[in-house]
Amino acid sequence: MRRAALTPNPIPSLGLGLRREFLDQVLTELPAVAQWEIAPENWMGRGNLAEYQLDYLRDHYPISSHGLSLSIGSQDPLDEAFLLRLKAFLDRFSINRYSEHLSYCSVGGHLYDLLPIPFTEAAAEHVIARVRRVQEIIERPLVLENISYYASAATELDELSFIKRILQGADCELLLDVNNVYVNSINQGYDPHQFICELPSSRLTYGHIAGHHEEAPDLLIDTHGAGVKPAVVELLQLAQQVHGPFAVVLERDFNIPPLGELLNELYELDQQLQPLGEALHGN
Amino acid sequence: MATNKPSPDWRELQQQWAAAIRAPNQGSLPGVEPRRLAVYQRLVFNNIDSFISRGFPVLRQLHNEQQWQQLIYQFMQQHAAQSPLFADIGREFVAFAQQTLPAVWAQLAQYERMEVDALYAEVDYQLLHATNAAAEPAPSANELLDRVQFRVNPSVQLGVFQYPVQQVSAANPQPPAAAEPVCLVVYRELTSQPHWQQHEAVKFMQLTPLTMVLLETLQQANGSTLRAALASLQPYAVGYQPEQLAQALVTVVEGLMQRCVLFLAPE
Repeated sequence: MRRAALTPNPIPSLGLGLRREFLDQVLTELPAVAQWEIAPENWMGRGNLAEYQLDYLRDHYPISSHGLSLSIGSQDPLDEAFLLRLKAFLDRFSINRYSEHLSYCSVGGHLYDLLPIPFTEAAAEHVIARVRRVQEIIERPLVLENISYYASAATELDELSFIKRILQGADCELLLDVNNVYVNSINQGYDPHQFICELPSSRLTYGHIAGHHEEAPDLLIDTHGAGVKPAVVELLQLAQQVHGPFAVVLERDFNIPPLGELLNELYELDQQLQPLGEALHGN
Repeated sequence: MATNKPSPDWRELQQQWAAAIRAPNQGSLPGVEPRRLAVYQRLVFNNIDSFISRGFPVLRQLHNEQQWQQLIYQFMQQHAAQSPLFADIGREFVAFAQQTLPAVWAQLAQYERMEVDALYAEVDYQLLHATNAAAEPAPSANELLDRVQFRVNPSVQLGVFQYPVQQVSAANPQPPAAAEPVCLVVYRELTSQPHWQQHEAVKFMQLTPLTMVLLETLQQANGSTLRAALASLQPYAVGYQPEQLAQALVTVVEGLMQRCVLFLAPE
């Protein structure tokens, strides 16, 4: 038998991405995590059991949402009917934070995966208008994540300028995924430290950390399928030093280990992020 | 930028990317290393494939690797999926299958999807609580006929097929059309108000055309007596006198109540 998860004291500052693989165990054991993050697209329209499970979770933890299918950068029309359903879902479960990916996942219909928006001025203008409309409909800030990408669609602008342009133009928040910064810095050949330091502190409200897979020395894949690499932890430490503390969630979506093992990884990460994380307790 | 090249149109770039991902063997993307494009081609295909393979296990078994891969690519190329929800990918696939697959497999896809729809159906358990309370003590045959009203289990999915889709398997991939319509119900076996741990089973049953029409009639009426439904059922019960039909239906509804397909409506 595997050892039980270490019991942290106090409650860790890190949250964890919720997976159905260990959902029943979470609901039974109620382990110590700062919050759970869910993908609304995996919970909406999933029947009574899902609703009861989410209600029970909601009674015991804060929940954040991290969307997958908004397709904010797509030329397909914004799906406003979906956004209204989404708002009702977020209201129903009192979920305040809604984050999404600065990407597109549909062109003439959904592809159900995240593609990099071409970094052009015109695309940035298009995204800005859509972000504003989304925020109007859901009556919440939209928190946008810097995505990982494997082939650059960069043309006019570099990634950092594109992101900053949208954050400012749309007046929205940033989810900094430090694993994505690391993966992109290798894949695209840029300095991840400089990238992180130049982000606007006031927009950065939330973070992600995860593991990746090395397909080739110059091609990393953001699988969320392995433990977090030390270089990625260092980037998170740097980000919190430079920009101040922000809530962070650990994501694990493939090769999911037993929950106890995953929690131990979370608690160890939490230790490494102390004392920075301490400022987060109580908010 | 220092070059004089006109700025590439981002819309056109998106369309080129999407086309290259949907049809990987039809060329490359200018300026994109093939192994990097291949990552996207793989990610998108595997993701969509995993949802459809899991959602349609029987249909999957009827195709070898190459045929299946071809079918998934055909879906990606020919069907503009509108739903942002992952649970709906299967529904999108059923719509595509109706246009593409031989009738027996298109109907099999519909049948396999009924299971998912039953599983995810929203049920008002409070209403059913009241209906269960109404069942104590068990009503007599006369009460079942003339007094009580019925509610159909809200998770019930009804399907009428030309082919015996429930018999399709690798050993019997394309059965001939049946002589009579094949009537099937798929439903969630509702227990009492579910706790978050209570996973309810999905059940399958073949119905006679008469029972099928009965359920459709009761579904539409949303609270009807058996007597009121009789008139619309008579055409499906050739050779039955009205009173014989009434007695036969009492037996049918007792069975459906036991199996949790029918509930009594509160009075």
